Amino acid sequence: MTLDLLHSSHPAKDRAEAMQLYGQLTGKWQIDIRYIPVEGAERFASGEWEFGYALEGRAVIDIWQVPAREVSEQTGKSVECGLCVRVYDPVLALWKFTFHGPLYRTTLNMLAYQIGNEIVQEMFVERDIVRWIFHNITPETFSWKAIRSKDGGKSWRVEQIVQASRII
Amino acid sequence: MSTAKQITLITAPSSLGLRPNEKGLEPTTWQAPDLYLKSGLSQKLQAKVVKLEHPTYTFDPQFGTKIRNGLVIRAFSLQLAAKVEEALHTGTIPIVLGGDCSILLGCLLGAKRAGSKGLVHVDGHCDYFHPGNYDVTTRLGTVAGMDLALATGKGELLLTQWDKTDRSLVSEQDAFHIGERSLEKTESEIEWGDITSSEITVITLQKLLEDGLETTATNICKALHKRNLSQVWLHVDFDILDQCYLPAVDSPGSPGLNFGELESFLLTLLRSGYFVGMDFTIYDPGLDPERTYVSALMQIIEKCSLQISHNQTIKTQ
Repeated sequence: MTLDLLHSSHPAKDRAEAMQLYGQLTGKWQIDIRYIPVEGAERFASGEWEFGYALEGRAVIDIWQVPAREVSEQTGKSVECGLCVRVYDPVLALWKFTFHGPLYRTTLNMLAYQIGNEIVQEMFVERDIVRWIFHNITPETFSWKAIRSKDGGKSWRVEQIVQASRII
Repeated sequence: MSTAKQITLITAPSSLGLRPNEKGLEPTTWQAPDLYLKSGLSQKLQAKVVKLEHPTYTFDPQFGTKIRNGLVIRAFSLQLAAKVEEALHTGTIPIVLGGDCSILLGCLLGAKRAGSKGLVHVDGHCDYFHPGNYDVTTRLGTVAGMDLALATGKGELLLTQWDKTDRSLVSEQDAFHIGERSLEKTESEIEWGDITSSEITVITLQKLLEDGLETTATNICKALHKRNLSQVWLHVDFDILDQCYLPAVDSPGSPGLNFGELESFLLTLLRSGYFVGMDFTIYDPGLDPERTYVSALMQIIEKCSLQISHNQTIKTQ
């Protein structure tokens, strides 16, 4: 069965403008991923990323799947299939973000902000500051990167880069 | 003919930026604004009064932040900013009664939205903790010890990112701190010593006493002029007073000023006409059960408010 009560076709009217921050990403995207480890060779992968409104249009949820579902069903191998829930909080004027990656038992909490034309999510991992940033967003493409600072934000290292192209 | 601008007293009854007190309870700095009002401050100043509700203090970590009460401080700062901005836009002078030093963020945000630029931070501590100089895994951060770092853009986005731009509430070049009493030690001895490598102007308490109050205030005003700053916010943490004169604060210390010296220093600053509003923080009525210090603190608030009001006269026919 499909979860009709989960999905929404449009943002809630009481916060429609704010919802556009992630709402501009609704649709399905083909993604190319580059992993940049501290040591060792870089890795590359492809997958898909799907965004949509949910919870009466007051949240944007997305599924990140590597490799794409068609490939994982053919091969019987999934590297990662994660769910992100992004909820706008009008009192705090920010987004609360939770990621669930069940295969590796991952759960992450972040807070997100619009800074210029970018969407910046932030969390601490022990003493490190980690940011996930959507940038160069156009109707047909966007870029995403994960960066990490070990010195309180003075310097940053890029850990992962994603280039996305719209499918739908 | 001219008349003094009206004052808007804004109460900011917050203890959010402090750690729990020795009894493990919420500190009681939040009670100070009401005490000032009950002692007749608004009548003496013929001021309009805008009251904010006492925000709920939480003891446990909050979602997505390593800062104590981080989410509540953001919400409270947005509320306070709206009141400060409104006061300035309606042609009045906002005087914000704290509360702990976390209220500085809301004051600066509101003032910035109304076109203000620059900060003079008078405080016995430079409040410069940020994730680059302390271990965020060992304790929840307390904003009353990091407000100057946050105001100049160092720290969690939760309290540095406000209006969709990457600009901080105040640039380092436009921030002037006066009063840190521990910076006479070498940089390696104190965690927040990295403030000396920032572009913030830092004048220690010892330097203030050595150079003299009037000379220092005059030099700061010259520096404001040089930076072309004419709508500056003034933050006054009463812990710049020596603990022998005011022990009823979260982190009392020595050396420090006496009441008369603080009043004189602030009035010299304010006579410049460069300031659009100010806040007063950290007096804790719970540490002063006999109310020994209220009238002396009230006198400073009253005189400073009248000075800033008289500087900004409105021409009438």
